[in-house]
Amino acid sequence: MKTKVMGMFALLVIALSVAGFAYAHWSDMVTIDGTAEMGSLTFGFTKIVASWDSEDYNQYPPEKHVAEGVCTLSEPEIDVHSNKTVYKLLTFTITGGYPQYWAINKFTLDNAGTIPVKIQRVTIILPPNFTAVESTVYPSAMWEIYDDRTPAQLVLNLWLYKQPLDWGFTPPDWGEAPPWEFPGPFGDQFGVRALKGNQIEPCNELLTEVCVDIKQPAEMCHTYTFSIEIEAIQWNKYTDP
Amino acid sequence: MWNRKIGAMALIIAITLSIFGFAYAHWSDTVTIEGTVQMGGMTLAFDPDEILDYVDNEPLLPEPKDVGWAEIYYDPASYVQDVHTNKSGYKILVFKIHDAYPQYRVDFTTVVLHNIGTIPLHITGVNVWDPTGELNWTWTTPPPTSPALGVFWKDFDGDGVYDVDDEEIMNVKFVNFVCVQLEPCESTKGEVDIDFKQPAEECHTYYFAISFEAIQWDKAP
Repeated sequence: MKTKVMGMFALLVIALSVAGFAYAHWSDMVTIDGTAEMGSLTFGFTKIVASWDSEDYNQYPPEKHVAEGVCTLSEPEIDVHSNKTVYKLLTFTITGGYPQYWAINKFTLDNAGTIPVKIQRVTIILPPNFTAVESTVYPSAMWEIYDDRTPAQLVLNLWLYKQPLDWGFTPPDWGEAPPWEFPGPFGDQFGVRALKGNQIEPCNELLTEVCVDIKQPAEMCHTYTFSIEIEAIQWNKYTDP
Repeated sequence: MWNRKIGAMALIIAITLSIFGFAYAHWSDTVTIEGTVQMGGMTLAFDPDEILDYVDNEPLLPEPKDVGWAEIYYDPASYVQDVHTNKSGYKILVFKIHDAYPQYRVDFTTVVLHNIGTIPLHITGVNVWDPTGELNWTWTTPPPTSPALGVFWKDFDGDGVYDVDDEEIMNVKFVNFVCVQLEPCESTKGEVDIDFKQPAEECHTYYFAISFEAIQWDKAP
């Protein structure tokens, strides 16, 4: 019995040594250390460039300044990469408005981040009992705002469009003509162009104008409000509507 | 067997989610334009601070007498207040003439119109009417000519037609109102002149009311 136990122990030692011989090897290792430093997408307003209105053309002398359209920027945000400041909210206030008065404010939309952006969506938000109808003549550039009393009344035309580049920073001298009567059909170099689909490279800006045109059924001593949301998306994820 | 099925389903869900995650993953940013349009107000009213008065032709007659007399007052129901400026006035002015007779002439010389709103306005016309409906009004020199002239007449023969010389009760002239442009807070003084004609009836008290029409200055004709 003792001999058998010794034999099995010897066999076990031999088996282990054989196995140890079979698995013994040298090995070495290399490592890939990965770092993904993300860019940023920061989109906003940077400056108010100019403002003018239908009273600036002295069509009914002597020149009068009855109504006024004023734009202000607020809610600043700083992009950590470019250190540029953009503003997330533009407030456009018209006081003393009357039918046929229109006011335009020109401002810049900036890409302060590191990723090119493309404007994906422009959304008009109105209080209850008001409806926005997108123009079929100037799609994505003009909306008719209706007060839903019975019958519904057109109270404002709301314009938001990219300014043709060759106009520069000063208002165009088209006399008394509002922007929708500028020469040239929609889409040419003088025409009104929609914001949607425009791409803005990092550190670049887009000259944009917002225009409010008050129509005849607008009521005296009334306050109308609206919001426009402009959504920009990383350029490679833009989808054609 | 059951455990394997659950495992396969979990795997399929994970793969599906990752595919959709890949498809929809993006960055986006939104900015907002908030707009407010505060409308102004256009309100034309008779200025209640002005003392209403008149002069007639009786002191100038060869034999001066004080026979005819007149009343002029604002219609209290037409009181109006502009919510922007808080200024007030009246929209309707009433004229009442007592003891009048043919050739009696009375001039209301202190009628003042006031722009109590925030929009410049242009006076375009006058509404003239007899609240009793007894007299009819016809313009002979209508606005925008200024002075504007018209006549109150009574349809004595019931044919519905104004018969010149036979049915004229009084001529009314409006001086210095029509086509006047008023800035906010500005006012203009004018006259309403009346002279009675031969067909005016005895023992009658005639009265009439007026109001003015205006349009925002940049839409003036």
